[in-house]
Amino acid sequence: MPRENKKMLSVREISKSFGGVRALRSVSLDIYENEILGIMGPNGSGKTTLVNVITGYIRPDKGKVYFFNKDITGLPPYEISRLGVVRTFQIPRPFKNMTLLDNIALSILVSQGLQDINDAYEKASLILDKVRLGDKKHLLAKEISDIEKKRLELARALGANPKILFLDEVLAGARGDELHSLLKLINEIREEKITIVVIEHIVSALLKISDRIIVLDQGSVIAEGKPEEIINNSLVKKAYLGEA
Amino acid sequence: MTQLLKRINLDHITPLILLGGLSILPWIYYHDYVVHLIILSLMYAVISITWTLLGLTGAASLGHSAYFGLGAYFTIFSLKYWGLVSYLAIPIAILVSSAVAIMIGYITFRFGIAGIYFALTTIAFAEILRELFIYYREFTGGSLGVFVSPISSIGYFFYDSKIPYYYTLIILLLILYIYLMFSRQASKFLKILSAIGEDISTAASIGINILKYRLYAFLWGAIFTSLMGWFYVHYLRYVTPDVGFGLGLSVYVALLSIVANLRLPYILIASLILTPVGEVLRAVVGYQFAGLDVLVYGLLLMILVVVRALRKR
Repeated sequence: MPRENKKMLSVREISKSFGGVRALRSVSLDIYENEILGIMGPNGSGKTTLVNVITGYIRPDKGKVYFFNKDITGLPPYEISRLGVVRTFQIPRPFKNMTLLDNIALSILVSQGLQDINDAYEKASLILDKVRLGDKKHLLAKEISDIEKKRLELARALGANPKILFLDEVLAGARGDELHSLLKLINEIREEKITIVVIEHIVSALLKISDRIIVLDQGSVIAEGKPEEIINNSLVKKAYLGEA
Repeated sequence: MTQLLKRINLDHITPLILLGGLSILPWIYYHDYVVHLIILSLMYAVISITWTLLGLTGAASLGHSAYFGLGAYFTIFSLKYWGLVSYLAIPIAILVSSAVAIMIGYITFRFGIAGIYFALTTIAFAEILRELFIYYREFTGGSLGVFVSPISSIGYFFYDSKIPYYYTLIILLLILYIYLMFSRQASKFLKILSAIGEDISTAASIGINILKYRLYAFLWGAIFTSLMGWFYVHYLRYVTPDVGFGLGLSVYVALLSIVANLRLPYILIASLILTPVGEVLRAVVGYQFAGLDVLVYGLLLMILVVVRALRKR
């Protein structure tokens, strides 16, 4: 199980405020190699702020982030990405006027420093096949549906050669077969030895896929454990349902 | 044959066909003023293409003329005061412009000056240089500018005839530039610049160093624009602060790029149409309606902005 695996990324006492709003209050957590960690919490609980701090988009007021014991707090996002800490965005942000293939090939070219453009395009094609967008690879990113853009986010992140992948609400909006297919895809990615952190506020999807879940509420970690432990946790019930 | 046709990219082939045609035109039909207009058009096209590199990253410089002015003035200083030959003035012009570009680029990009504030900073910077070059009149000739006497000797690039010298050189420079722009490495570079322009956060998320690539684009622009300053001084043999550092040139090269929708090959076509229109307007009706060419460019820019805004709705 994950606890036997090596510690990969550690967050230590991270705090962040926006004006008078305390988005994160002394958050500490560990992420282990090759696990699927779920981070859940109601809207406004600080999930995306935490991802933004870890990936360098926001500087914390206090605290540290370590990646394989290296302090990465305050490094610019591009440096953190090149270390292998890669993210997707809650609202998909593809390069809209590029084809799907260009989106992914660019990610591969930059992150892997490839000189051979043909090689990058071949790899990009394989990644698009994997996320089931292979038949649309020559379309512009702005021409595909919103749910396909979520898959494209995933593909672009895969192109960036991740060691740990933060998926920020990549399951949002997916239903039925689409949700099942995305969950299957996330499991397939884990099989490539990539650690995955799934950030969601949809509890049912996270329970299905996570090895371990951390629950945030009002900027603090209120629970941590296996899915079956989380579902019966009184603090979690209170945060979601307002009852003890 | 079908495979060959598929591999031909119109964006690559159009400027080469155009330049191929232009390179033989004066030997088929020669008219001094037409050749002059083509030379100016090609010169503005080079400057506009360099402007577009930074434009692709979403940063619109309105002080691009500064590098043209620095290139032109330091070429004249090299020839007139430091006794250097034309070809040694090239590295001087490029070095000065590059150093200034790195300084301004680093300050603005490092501290996240973007959008309208970036445009205003670049205007202010070009304007400061214009004022400085007016103030130190003992070197610069003040607002009247400075002239250089042509020297016909080895190492100097002064000729009485436009062809083949100035005409061929500007065509060769543009071919070299287009070749560099369409090389495989440049194709990756251009894609990275476009990615930054489309979404900075996404670009950073895949590992693109925004500051580095914006500085590269700025530096590349400064190098080729100062080279055009060197060319201009050898071709027309003078420069004034208004020509060198004026807002007019900066706005014009931005206009060419916007007309061409930031697509490099079409900038050449835009310049070959708009530059002669402006020059002819100035020559034919300039004495009655001074500034009519600027009015036409301004109107065109307004129409383009409105059309783009309507399309986006």
